[in-house]
Amino acid sequence: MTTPPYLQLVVKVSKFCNLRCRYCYEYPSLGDRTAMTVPQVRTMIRHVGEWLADQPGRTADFVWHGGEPLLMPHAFYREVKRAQQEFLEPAGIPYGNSVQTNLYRLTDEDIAVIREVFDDVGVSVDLVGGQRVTVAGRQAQPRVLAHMQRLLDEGLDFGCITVLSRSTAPHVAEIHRFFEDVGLGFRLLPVYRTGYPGQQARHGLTAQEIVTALKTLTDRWLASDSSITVEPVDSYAANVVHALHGAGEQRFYDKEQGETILVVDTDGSVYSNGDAYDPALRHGDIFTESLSAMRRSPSFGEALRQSRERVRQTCTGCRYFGSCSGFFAAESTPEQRWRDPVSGLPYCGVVRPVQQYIEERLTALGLVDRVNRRLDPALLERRALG
Amino acid sequence: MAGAEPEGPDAPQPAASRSAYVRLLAMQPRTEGGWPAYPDFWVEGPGNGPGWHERFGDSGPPGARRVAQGGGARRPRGGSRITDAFLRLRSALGPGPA
Repeated sequence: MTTPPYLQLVVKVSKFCNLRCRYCYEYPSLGDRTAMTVPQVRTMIRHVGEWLADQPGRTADFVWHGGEPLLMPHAFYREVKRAQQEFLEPAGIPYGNSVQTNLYRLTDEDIAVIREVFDDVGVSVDLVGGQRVTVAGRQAQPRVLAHMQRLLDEGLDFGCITVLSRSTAPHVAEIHRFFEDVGLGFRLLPVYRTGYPGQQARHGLTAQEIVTALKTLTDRWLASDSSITVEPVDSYAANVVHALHGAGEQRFYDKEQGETILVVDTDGSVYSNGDAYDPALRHGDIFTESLSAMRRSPSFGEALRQSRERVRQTCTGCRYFGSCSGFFAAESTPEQRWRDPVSGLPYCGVVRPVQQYIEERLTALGLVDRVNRRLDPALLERRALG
Repeated sequence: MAGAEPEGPDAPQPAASRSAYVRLLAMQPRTEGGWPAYPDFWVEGPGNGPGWHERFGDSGPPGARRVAQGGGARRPRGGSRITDAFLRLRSALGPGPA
């Protein structure tokens, strides 16, 4: 198992938000002004530095998340940067900062702090559906669109997330066309977590409905002349191309050495991606404990055991396993752990069927030998470059 | 072999753009110079930027600035204005609450 070259730390700096998006899994906490303090975040960065010090070249990739992370005082992020300079740079640890924002507020000072601190900006925008609203219930989108234009006018590039829900699923092709038109990369993100019982009954999609939407996105991806990033199709297509290539190293995700995402809650609690905020699977408290100590905790051991079991049950026998590392099963949220209603066995509800569809499309394009199931690289090259 | 498929003017037009073929070509595992230590890094976006494969889903994909830092050759962003593109989207959806 090779250690991945990055570790993403998703930092829930505060749950406080100026919007009340109806599907938001943080919905019950969006009025809570509790926020990380500068001393807490300094300790967190010091612990990250200590842990990565003996993992040469591994980048600490901080994803500042909320709530709305740009509502934090701007001085906070300047202190973050100072702490990174103090604890990471002397140890030669590469690092980056990105922020995921609803962009409902964008002041001159916000733009200044984006330039100073953040290497990347992600903007949440659905374009259709009307589920992103203010505290007063007003539509947030007109202002967000204006702020997206302002970022572009300021020369600040960004990527977008559009939540794939019952409201947006019928309009996937039009959503893709929008991002193609404006030249911005985006991820279509199915509702993947629930804030309170019953919340997603109106918003969530079945696995089959998600697959249908992602097939439409795949068709658009194949027909498009644009080179924008389109997730998750880019990732799934890469898995398929690897599987059809038939040569090269296989890779199997295992969180013990290869965990790529840690979610840090506002109180310092650390979780694996799929297990947030399950108290039984909490690794520890990054404000008081080292990451190496957390990796030895019984709760991390249990999270690891469950993750491996999910991969074993879900991925064994899949023709893409080894090209697709099993990450999606290993780090799935409870909402993404689909079970066959008859057998009760887990199955890969989205990734495998979409990858199968991509393979079918490549086969129909004549790129795949129908006997040995291998990609014809010469034909692909002719069509790409000829 | 798939390559035996007719490629002449009478062949059916594949429902894929030239850009899609380029993107698929860029996704092929490297065959020269060996494999990178962590194969995730060849799973690159079409701009040939840094890997964006097993990352936190609830954060936007990297903008062109990060892609360029990764040595990518993404073409300059030259898209429409946001308002124009959104009006086109609304027009495509027709009347209604969407």
